[in-house]
Amino acid sequence: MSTKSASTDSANHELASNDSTSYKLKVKQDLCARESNASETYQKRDQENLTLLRSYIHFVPFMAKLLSGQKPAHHIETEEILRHSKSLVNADLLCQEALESLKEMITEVIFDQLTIIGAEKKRYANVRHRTVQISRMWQQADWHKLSLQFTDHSIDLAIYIYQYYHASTKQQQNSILKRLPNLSTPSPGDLLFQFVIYQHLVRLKTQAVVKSAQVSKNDLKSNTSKPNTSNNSQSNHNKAKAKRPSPSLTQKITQIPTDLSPIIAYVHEFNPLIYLVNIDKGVLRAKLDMSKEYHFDFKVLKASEYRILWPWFSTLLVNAWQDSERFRWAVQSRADAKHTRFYNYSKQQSALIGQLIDFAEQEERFDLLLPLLDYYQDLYKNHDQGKNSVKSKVDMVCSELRLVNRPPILTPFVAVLNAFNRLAAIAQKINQNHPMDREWSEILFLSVFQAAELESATIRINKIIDEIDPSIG
Amino acid sequence: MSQIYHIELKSSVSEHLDLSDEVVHKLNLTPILDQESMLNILKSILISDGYEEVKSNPQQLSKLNERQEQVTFDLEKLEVKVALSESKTLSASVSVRESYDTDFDTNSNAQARAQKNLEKEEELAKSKLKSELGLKQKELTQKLNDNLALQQREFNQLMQQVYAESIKQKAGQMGEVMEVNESTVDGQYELVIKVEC
Repeated sequence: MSTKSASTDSANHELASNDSTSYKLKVKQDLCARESNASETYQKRDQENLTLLRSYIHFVPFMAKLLSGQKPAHHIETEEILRHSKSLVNADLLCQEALESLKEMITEVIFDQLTIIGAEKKRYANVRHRTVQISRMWQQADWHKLSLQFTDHSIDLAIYIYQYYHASTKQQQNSILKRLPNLSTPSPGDLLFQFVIYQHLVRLKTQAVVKSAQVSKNDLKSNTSKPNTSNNSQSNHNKAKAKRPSPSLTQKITQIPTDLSPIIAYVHEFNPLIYLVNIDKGVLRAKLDMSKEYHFDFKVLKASEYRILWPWFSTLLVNAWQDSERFRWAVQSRADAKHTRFYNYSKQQSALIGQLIDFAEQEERFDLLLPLLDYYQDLYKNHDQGKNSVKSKVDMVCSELRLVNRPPILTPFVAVLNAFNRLAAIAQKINQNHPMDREWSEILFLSVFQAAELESATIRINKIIDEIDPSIG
Repeated sequence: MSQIYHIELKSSVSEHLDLSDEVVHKLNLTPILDQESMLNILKSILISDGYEEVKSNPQQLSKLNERQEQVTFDLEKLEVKVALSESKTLSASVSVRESYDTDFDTNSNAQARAQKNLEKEEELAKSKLKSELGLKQKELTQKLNDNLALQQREFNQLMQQVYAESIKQKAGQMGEVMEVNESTVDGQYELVIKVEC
């Protein structure tokens, strides 16, 4: 619509600049100006109506579907609008009410998730009284006490996802991706929103991959089962033509960029909540790259909001890491891929654990290490049983390697196991301090460490280390 | 009159491979005495166990054990290397048979065909031998891997002697040794030393 009014203006300008201006022309010019004013008013009203419609019919339902884990609809109209406007964030293309709805949705979804993870009883620190309490956090009111802040970051990110989903060209996608780093610094609440939306985006991506694999499988089946006679193909073609929508629409639908990988990669890279939990994502599967170094930044975890949140969040982390053990030990058809995947995963995990321990020691935030205690306790219970001992699994993934070539492949995994001894050393060090000298995070860490009764885990984990990295003495 | 001739070519192929693998154990000596004294004790115990100094490096002591593993203690790097090696030569004979009719073909053509087929068969036999050698290498690696626990037990027995001797020397440094009792019950070694200071 703005294009239309621009063309009317240029026409008026052409008329005015004409040398042979006559009275008739002047009258025409006045009429044009009056019409233009009227049409501008109508355009403005239409624009407002469209904004409302777009917001309520497209944007709000889109976000509602996405945040509830469903595949949102793709609106060709939105695609058209986005082709003419650069960004919904800056342009006034979403009504205030829609943004309010989005804010409500975000907070509702986050607190719902928190009440779900809060159903489990956990040890947490009462910082003021320097004591450890065991409790559930299953009521929204409990979590509201955290006063989590959500900033523009969450709203803008949601809008960018909406735009990226509807971007029809690579150029549009790239322009959105370029703007992502300019988002305001995320607050702890924003990071939680990123965490929730990340899980949904990954699920969408997985569904799309599975669906496309099924489609190609079905295509292959139908191609091989039906003989391709000329009559048959002609009649099929006609049937398909009758069913098929117009070519332009089909073309548009096939162009839909369902792959939101760049946005997934962006939030994965900068959010410690995401890269701590989704450890197997972003791990190279096929290439053995021994020179790759991992650097993780845990600064944001210093925020006071995480003091309360962390014991419950750690359940998510431990569950995800337990699931990822399958990824580490996956035996694939390609022989060399087995130890490549094992190495790459273990390398990333050892860097993650090592750097998290460094950070916790440096900042004296030992509560951040709580999930590691649960992880190690479960590791030897669930993944080191009888014939499925860690040693036999290591032999399996390294079956294509001679023993002499195994140590560099095993080093990161040994580092993962050895990190447990670092945790035990931290607990011992805290235990040596007088109880009155202990900080709240030390009190909590020691309390969880002692309650976990890790003696058998310590013995077994060190035995595993000795089996796969033998030492004498 | 047409006559049928047969050409038979025979050949043998062989593949040689030095199969080998090794595993390195780290040597962590608990410092009961100073490192040099402990290494000297270790050296004397190794020599009494049949190890010999490597000529090129006197800090290395080596022996071939009953499982044909070459065990080398490196007192400089503080590691023990256990190597297993084997030379394998596998051979196979290949033959091809080519027939020709004098009315339709010549001897030289048939010879050329037979030669070409023989070369193909040789290649096939070679690749088969190579994969067999690959399996032999895997078997050797598996053999060494299966013996890891046994090796560790043997080395720990040696280390037990080193620690016992170190403790005895340490006790001697602390005062006059009045009584030394050594016993092994249910595989548990016990050393009791009474010292008068």
